[in-house]
Amino acid sequence: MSIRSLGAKIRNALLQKSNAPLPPLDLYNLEGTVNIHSSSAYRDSRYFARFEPTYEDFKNNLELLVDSNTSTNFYKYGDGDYYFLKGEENGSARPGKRALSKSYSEIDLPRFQEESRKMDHYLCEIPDDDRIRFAETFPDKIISFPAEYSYGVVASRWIFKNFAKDIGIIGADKKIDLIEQLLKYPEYRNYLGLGNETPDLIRIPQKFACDDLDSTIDKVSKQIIGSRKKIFILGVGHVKSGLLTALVNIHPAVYLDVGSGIDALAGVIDIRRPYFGGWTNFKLPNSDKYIEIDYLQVDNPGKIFYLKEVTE
Amino acid sequence: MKTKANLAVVFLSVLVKSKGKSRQFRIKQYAQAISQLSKWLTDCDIILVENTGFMDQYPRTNPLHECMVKHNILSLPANTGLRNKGLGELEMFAAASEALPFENWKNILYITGRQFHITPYAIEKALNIESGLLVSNPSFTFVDGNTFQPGTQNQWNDMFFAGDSSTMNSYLEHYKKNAFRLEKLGLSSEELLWDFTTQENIRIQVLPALGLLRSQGKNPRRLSDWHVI
Repeated sequence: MSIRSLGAKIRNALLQKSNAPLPPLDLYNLEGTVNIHSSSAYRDSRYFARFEPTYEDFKNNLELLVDSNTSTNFYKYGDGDYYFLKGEENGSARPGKRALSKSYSEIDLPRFQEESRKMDHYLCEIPDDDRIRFAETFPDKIISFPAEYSYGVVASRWIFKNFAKDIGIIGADKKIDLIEQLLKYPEYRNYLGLGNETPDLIRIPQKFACDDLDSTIDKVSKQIIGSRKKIFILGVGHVKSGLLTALVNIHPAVYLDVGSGIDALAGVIDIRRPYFGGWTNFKLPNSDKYIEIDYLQVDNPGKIFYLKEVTE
Repeated sequence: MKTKANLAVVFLSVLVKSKGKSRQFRIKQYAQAISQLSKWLTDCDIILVENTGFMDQYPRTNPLHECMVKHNILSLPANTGLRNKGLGELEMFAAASEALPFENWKNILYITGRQFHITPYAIEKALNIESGLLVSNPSFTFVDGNTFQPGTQNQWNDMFFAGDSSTMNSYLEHYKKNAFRLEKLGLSSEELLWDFTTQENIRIQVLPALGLLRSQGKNPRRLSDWHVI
């Protein structure tokens, strides 16, 4: 480890300990976003050359794919997927935690592993740890784009402004419930840049969607068949490893895994997650729905927009 | 649901260093001021922007909270804000424009929250701007008979001003471009507003007075600190 990166790590550890805000980073910029994530990779220019130009390529690709109504998927790989696909009980991949209630021996893990190797595009964050894990999980696959791009298109709201008529959202039912309520407010719609367009909202069970993959696919199929939307962003946890390949055959569209981007849309994201440093979390008035949400860690909600109760 | 024609951005910094009775008085004062202000803001959406963590950290059983939840609130992290109050408000104004893109409204009103609007005069003028900015640089008339005239003419009062949304967006751009001058050269937010109108040749309408009652000192119970602008 270089002195520079060791220094950055110590500094970040101290800042996190004091809960002080990290300064916005000036490397790896994605237009319209702020990144205050603590990873030293975001402070080291050697991790990814041509980060910004390749982001433009990524967005151009999305535009072409949506314009041609191509059916394809973008699978975002992270450390949780590493443990899940290995059948290791760790974090979100631990039985009983979020993705599954059964033990790994009771679910069809080989099917998830097999389907995960059939994705059209793979996204992975730029820090080394993630890329090393990716190479171990998928030794014969290449990373198509940094996973940060999928955060960037949501955090900047570019994806809503560009595909307002064509976009749908797939996520955990409780979070989609929140998004559905939030979409009733013009303030929220204007923030996203949706105007009067309404995205299709597709729900999956918030918990244990991996227990019975066929059942989850069936639930999504019933909601998505007949949709006219050409691009869906999704954050569905580990079930994506089995779901994404099915989706492209159920309804022709671009399926872009944005992970915690769905939390941002539901107003429950921690702004220290990569590229969400400038995000505004919108909150419904007097809603008891938040206690039903399976929160990821939200120690730093950042800017919060409390919507007023509508009386008229 | 539709938005109204205009948007009022109202700034609050509730949990400053005051404690005990002084803090309670401040909270009550804000509550009364916001309540009074909202009566005049017809055909106007209101966004309250708070930057001391009041909404998240303070018990909700207080008159200000009850008053605030009737409006949209943008709560900024408690550590948000620069040293200077005027600059802090500009930072809050930028955050408001990010959350509520101004182009969705005809006119945008910029209002410091802890002051009493004793007449709708300035607000009515603001709601009827056709283009450019409504500004002022009025004298302060204290209730004990003293008068204070702002020392320099190269400034516009920024406790209250307004403009069409395009001009207000341009002002934000001007602020972002010149933020370093504000910090390094000690330029005030009032001077920045003047800078903007002169450098960008903005069409302005100047009000002789604002009709605001406010207290300048740290002890709002001291009558001699109260004045009309």
